[in-house]
Amino acid sequence: MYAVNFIGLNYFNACTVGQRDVLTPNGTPGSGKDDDQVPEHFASLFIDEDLCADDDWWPEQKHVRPVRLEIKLGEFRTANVIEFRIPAKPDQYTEPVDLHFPCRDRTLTNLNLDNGLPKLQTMGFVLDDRPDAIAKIPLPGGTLEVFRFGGATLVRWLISDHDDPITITAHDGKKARRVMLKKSDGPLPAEIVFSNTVDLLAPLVMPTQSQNMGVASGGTMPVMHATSVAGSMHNHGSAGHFVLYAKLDKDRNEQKFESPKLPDPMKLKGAPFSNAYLAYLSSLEETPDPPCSGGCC
Amino acid sequence: MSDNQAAKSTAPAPVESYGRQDLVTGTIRKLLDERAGVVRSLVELDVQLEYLFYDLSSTKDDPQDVERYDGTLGVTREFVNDYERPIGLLQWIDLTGRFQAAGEDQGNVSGQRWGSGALISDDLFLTAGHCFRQEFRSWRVPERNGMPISPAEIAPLMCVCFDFQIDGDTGQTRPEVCYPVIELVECSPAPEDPNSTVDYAIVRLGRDEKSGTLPGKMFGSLHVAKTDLTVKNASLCIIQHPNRAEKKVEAGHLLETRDGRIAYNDIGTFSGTSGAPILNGITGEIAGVHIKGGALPVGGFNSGTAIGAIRAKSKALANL
Repeated sequence: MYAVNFIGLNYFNACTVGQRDVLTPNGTPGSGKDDDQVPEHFASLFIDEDLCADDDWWPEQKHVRPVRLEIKLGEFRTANVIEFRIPAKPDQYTEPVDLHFPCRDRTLTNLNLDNGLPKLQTMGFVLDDRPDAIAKIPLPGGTLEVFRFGGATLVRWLISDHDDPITITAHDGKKARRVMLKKSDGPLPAEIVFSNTVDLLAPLVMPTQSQNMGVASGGTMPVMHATSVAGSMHNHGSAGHFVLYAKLDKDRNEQKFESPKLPDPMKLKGAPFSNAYLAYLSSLEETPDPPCSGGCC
Repeated sequence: MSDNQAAKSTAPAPVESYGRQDLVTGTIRKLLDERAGVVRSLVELDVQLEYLFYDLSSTKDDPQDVERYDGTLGVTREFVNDYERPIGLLQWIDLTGRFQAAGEDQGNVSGQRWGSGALISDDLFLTAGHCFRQEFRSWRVPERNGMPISPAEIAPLMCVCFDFQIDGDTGQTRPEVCYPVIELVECSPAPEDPNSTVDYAIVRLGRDEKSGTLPGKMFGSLHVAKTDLTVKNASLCIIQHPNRAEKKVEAGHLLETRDGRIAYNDIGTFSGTSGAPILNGITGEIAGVHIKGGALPVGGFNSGTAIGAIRAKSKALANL
């Protein structure tokens, strides 16, 4: 058994007969008519380094991200999480990367997506024949359930029956890349995070320090300064990044998504997880999150 | 065919000893394989059971509307009735029409419900310092010439609303009563000391537009503890606006107080709880200000700034 936890903007296309997949709207710049409207989003796998056995991911898209977790007051441990990013598409017409998770289950159970996620179709969304998605993830079986994660949502895909060791493959039309996990021997099953958000690990820099932009974070990759992330964002009011779903819409109309009515995440059960990246995100200051929720058909 | 040859061909073939051994060892091997398979299945079942138990334990966040509180979280209904009124919601005002001059940008925070906090006098409101920060990962505060405005300039762009809660009788949201923030009295961490771990702010509120009264006259105020609460498992209560929603109550126990911080791991807090007062569950005094999440079914804790650390920095509290 293992779990894939989806956070950020992902469209769960599991309502139409014969169509069962996740489409991840492309948030990398330069691919859409309104790409200056929202800050850059990254579609990435986040996996605890301890879980990873081997990989041949795109070398420039693989980043070791140290996260600092407070174990007791004032006592910290650093856990390395590996971010496997999906490369930016050269243009919006490029096919999305096919991301496959091993799953022998052939029955897909949807526990509560209809109630827990906003329904894009009620906003006039029509899935484009050639959506500007950066990733497409088939959902052959398993169980989907939406949980509360902070002020937003997390969708857990639980897979009981699968090949071992767990090997995730990504096809970009040229070559298949893979990430192979170690066989889990811990008390909990392996957890993989698939995220489509801004870079949430980039350090915040106060304006007085911002002259040092471009300096590496102390981790193993240079990070984008928070100001430069936000600085490219025009005002979408409370819609925040939700308008990115327009990248999947037939007429690419962002206005449809500017005032989303999101289900109340407080009515959902809190997400269960042990992944270090999620643990880090849940330990931050508790000011509000912008609406950046997974969507449902 | 000779007689000898005929006898050989009709006699039953002797059972070769190595064949029988092979059969037995083969069967043993098969049974051992089956046993190993069963053990593997048991291990996998154990893992699945463990995960499902873990999954169940994630239901522990259970805040309740203050006026509909059933008294089961660890503090009494009377306690909540006595102390909830001075607790309010910090909110950005509507910025429409502002920051329109050349080089100005309104940001994307207009009207956003932002955090929680409590009145500590007729007009002073205690909350979290990071609510007035200039940089957020996904939000942009107003800017001038490409730089975010200062915390002192941010504060008067906010208001504090009381009574934003579900009416216990009607089930409807009460009309909120809002007061302008007129001054950032104290704030830590300050821009010049961004690494300070003492996270709190005190803002001064103006009068209600309609009645002309100060908020404390209408909603009362909470007492601020003189010293840190350090008794492990002491009762704590956080009355808050979780996820920017109507006011709710959660309660639990103190895990630890150390180095100016206070930790707890059985009190559900959420985005928007920042700044909520951490109340001593017996006396109702403010023992700290909530800052961070982090409690998980597998460990971790939530935390706030302990009142001792705030008192050590605050002149306003000394003058109360």
